[in-house]
Amino acid sequence: MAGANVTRIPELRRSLGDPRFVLLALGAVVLALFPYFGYVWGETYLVSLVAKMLIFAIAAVSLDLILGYGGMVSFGHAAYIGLGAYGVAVFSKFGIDNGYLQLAAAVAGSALVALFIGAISLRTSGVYFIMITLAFTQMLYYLGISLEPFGGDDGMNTRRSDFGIKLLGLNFTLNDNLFVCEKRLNPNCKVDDRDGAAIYYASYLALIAAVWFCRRIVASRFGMAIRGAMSNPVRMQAIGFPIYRYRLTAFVLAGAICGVGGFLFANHQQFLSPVYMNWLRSGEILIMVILGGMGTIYGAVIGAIGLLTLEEVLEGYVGKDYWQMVLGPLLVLLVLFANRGIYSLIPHRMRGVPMFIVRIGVVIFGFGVFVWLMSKSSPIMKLAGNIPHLPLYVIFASLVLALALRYWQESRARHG
Amino acid sequence: MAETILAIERLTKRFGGLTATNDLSLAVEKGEVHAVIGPNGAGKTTLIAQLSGLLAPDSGRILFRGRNITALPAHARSALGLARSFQVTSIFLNFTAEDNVALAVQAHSGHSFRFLRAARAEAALREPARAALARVGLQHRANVVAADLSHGEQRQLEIAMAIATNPAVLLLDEPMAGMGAEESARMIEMLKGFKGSHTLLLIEHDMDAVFKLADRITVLVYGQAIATGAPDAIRANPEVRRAYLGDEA
Repeated sequence: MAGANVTRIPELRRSLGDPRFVLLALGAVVLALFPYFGYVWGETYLVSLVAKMLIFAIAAVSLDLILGYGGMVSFGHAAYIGLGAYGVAVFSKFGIDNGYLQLAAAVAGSALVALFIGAISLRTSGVYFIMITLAFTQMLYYLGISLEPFGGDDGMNTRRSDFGIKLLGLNFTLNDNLFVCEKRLNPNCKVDDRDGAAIYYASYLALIAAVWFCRRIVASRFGMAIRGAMSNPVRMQAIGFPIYRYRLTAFVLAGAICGVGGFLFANHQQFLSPVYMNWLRSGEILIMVILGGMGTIYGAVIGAIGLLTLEEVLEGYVGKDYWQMVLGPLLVLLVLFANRGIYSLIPHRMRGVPMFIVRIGVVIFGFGVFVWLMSKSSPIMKLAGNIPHLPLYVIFASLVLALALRYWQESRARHG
Repeated sequence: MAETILAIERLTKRFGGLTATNDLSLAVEKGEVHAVIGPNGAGKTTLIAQLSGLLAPDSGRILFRGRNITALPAHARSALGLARSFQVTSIFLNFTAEDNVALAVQAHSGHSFRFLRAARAEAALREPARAALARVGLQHRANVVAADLSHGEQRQLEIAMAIATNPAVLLLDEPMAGMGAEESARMIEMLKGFKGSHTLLLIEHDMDAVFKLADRITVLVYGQAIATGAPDAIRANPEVRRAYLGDEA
């Protein structure tokens, strides 16, 4: 009955004997030091990229709160990224850079809209819930496009929020002054990049806070109530829970947390665009959670970093034209072979670690070889000439192979 | 004369042309095990649905501890101390047995808008949950995921969830449904243990169980109570024999 445990909360032992804890702690340390190395190596682009990953991890974590623990498949989570960004842009347009004000507006705006959307869509369930959340988000998207004062569909530039913190002689405006890359100061810098790492660290701290908060929530009385409502809503009512209130509260909380992500995203991009609310973005956040592992919170972080890394690598090596067509089947493969998400693959005990490292090594190596073969400098290209859309043929062939393998495994398991 | 804790007065429920509960009056006394029996279609499940608040009666009243609860919703009745179990097992399959019962306890200990403190570490939830599990004999299975329990154990868990909140009246909808002989015997023993300390209103198909457990029996035919009395009197009642027990008795 392994399947019965799928939505059971994975207890993470906070000890060095639990590989998951070790891995998460290591990850947190590496991420904390990352901007420093980015600066030393002059790779500030990478720092900015990882900051974006951290921001989307916040969005994914907040979605996992309602998806993995409340069973609410919201296909409109990007709405709150957009609303958070509007929280910055609206003030920025009128020359108000006060970060506290902007953050409060971003969170309150997201929470209010989530309250409205949730109050209506939570009266439905299943596929209707998915469709209604999607519909509301698309309405917001088109509303954003029609908002000419804020740039319409062109978007608008925004300034960074000012939190007015002066520390160690530095002015923390989420703006610069930490690990700024300048050619005259650091010979490794390829370009002058005055972006700095303040936005990175703000995102990092916000992500840590979001993960901590969500883990606390799901283990609390409130968390038990929404998990019970996911597991058996009829019984919940019979034992005396008014479940609608609890689910709506969870939906609003998730929206508010995601609004913080939107606030950070506007600061990161220094730009507002209604495209932030596009349904493709909502789908991306959903994929992050599913890929990383629903109902774990940590998995959402892994999924966000994993998906954005995958996109970056594919876009860079397979080419701008059709990397997404390669990404799709790859995701299908990943879900087929890790259907409870990446986080569930990490062993619970130390003796499982060597095998885990071997497996991960094989996957990364295989992926590397695949990307190399598919890239423009591939040896296949040299031997066979320029075959148009070669990666597509390969990826679809491997998808068919994988499905056949899966089918064979399952039929053997049934009969044997 | 014992105190009446749950009184049903002239209750009627119609589904179109079918009268499922027909001018039914019934009094459950405090501390007794009161069984409701009757052939299929006699309106037993309809009765329990009205008592627990899932169905609204067309006329009549339900008095619980002297208070009219006819119009209260299900979760409010549960909060007053009227607990029920389901005919078809209804538990949280992906929770452990103890989490299942703790959730029932939580439902009756104030609101659940508490976000930061770990619910699993709250003795106020865990201790009553463990006590309830012990009462149904599941203490050694406390940390097993409910889906991995046997059918009989799931039925026991269902009872544990109902008694965990110390309800004044426990409505049991066919607790022996789908059980083997051995499991049934264990369930009967367990329910016997509640005699005296709990008030039970039991709906059951299993005649052996009913005659072993009940202090009083009400026989329901076509939504009407045709007899109420001690097991021996019911067994001897010619009307009951004709309507229900037939050649079996």
